[in-house]
Amino acid sequence: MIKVMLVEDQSMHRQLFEMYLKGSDRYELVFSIENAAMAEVYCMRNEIDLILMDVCTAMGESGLDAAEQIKQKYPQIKIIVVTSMPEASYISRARAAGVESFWYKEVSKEPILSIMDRTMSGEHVYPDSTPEIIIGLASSREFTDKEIEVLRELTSGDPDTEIAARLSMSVWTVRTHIKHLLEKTGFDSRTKLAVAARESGLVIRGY
Amino acid sequence: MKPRLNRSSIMEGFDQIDSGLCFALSNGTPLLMNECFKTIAAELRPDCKDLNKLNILDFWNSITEASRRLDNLWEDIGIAPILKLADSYLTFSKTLISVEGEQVYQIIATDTTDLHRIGARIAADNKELEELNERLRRHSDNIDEISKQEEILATKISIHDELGELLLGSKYCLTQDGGAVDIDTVISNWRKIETLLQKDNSSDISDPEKQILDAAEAVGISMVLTGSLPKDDINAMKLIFAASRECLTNAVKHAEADEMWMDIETDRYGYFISITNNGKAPKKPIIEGGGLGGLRKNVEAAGGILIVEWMPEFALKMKLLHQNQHYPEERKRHD
Repeated sequence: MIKVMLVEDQSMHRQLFEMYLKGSDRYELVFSIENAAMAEVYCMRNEIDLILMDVCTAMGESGLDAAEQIKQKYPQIKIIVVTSMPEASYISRARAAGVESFWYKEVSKEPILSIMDRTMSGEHVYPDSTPEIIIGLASSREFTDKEIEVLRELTSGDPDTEIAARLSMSVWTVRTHIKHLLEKTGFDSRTKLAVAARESGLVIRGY
Repeated sequence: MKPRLNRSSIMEGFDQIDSGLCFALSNGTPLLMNECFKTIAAELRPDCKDLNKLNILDFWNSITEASRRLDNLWEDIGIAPILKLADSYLTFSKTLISVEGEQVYQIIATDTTDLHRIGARIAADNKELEELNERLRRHSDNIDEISKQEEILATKISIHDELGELLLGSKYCLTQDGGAVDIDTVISNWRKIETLLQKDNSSDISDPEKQILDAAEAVGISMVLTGSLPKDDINAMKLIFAASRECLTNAVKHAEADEMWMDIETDRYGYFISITNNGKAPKKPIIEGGGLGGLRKNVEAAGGILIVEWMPEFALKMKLLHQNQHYPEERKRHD
């Protein structure tokens, strides 16, 4: 049996995953925890073959950060990142962390058990791209990487000077990106732009 | 014809200046004031019948004093006194200059109405922007919860669909209409979904204390935890959680401990956390790697203190402040 640890902060999702695993004769759920920050501890003395890792977990802890730590210390443990958030950076961050597979909870057509089977067979299963999000008049695919970075920080509500410092850009570069974002989306204020971007899930700070 | 400068032409030019200009001796006796200054002085000092006898130093002091008073006709912005008239602003400056070896005061009153109007508009815009940003920050906090509720709803819909399919399959089985439906599959599916139907979904996240105790138990450590995590202070809770994780890692990997103690005390300044174990004591000072080093960085960034002791036994001690709190200096020393 393949031993699975589930890191998921919502009980309903946990139960749904448990239901899927219960229906399989290949997988055994050994741990089900809510907080990604503690996942690494469980790996120390337990035989775990596969982790289903949510990104936004309890106490605002990042599943992607936890996955990166676990892959560094326990590279033999396979990880599938599972999320419902279409955040633009999640796929590339998961790849950079060495995560084997990535599954969108609500939009992926392939069932999670199939992704688990393929992952355990040595495949790396990733969606072709982040789900397309419409913000104002623009598709998320029209934004450049730098514009997405600025957009993410814009949702903080911090002044441009602080955003510029965090992104190692000049204030003028930040303002130019905001101007381009406003032109593309058609919003008449940066606040409306930030609210729409955050509500869409395209940019989420802190995970 | 070559123009000639004389006393009258200088005075005439002086009066043409649209700022108030006045020169006075170091004792305040006025030497020269243009028409604009006279108008201003007359408006501000209606009690003075002869402006030639106005003591300029007294006049300056009255401007400065009045400008410090709040909700008055006068305002003080920066160094120079600012006079707010009914529909305009005047800014005064005073400079001591030397004229032919004599110290002379130069007082200038400049109309800064446009500057103030722009400044006021910028201040209002900035205030509005800050309010918007604050609302945006609150919105970002709320949106996390909304996103979770949307996820839960999507999951419920998914469960509902599965349940519907199962009920339909069961109906076919019971009515013998579904020749292709296998009764064993239906029973197996009912067993799978049983978990969902039995569990109480009201509580989503377990207590953070339980999360720590469960993790300890999972790695064979019996943990005694006294006190409770500050659930209303997410930043402090995350740091305490991170400290417990580092200590669990140390207890398993280095100390080979099977018992651990974690005490959390709270006072009016913040939290004091102490974590020890019953394992082997370190033989040398602990080198702080990524885990402990990262914890130290985050604790100190939050204004807290982290102490990692290696003798006589391993102990991690941490002080964290309540939000917007600072440790007084004497408290730092005594603790």
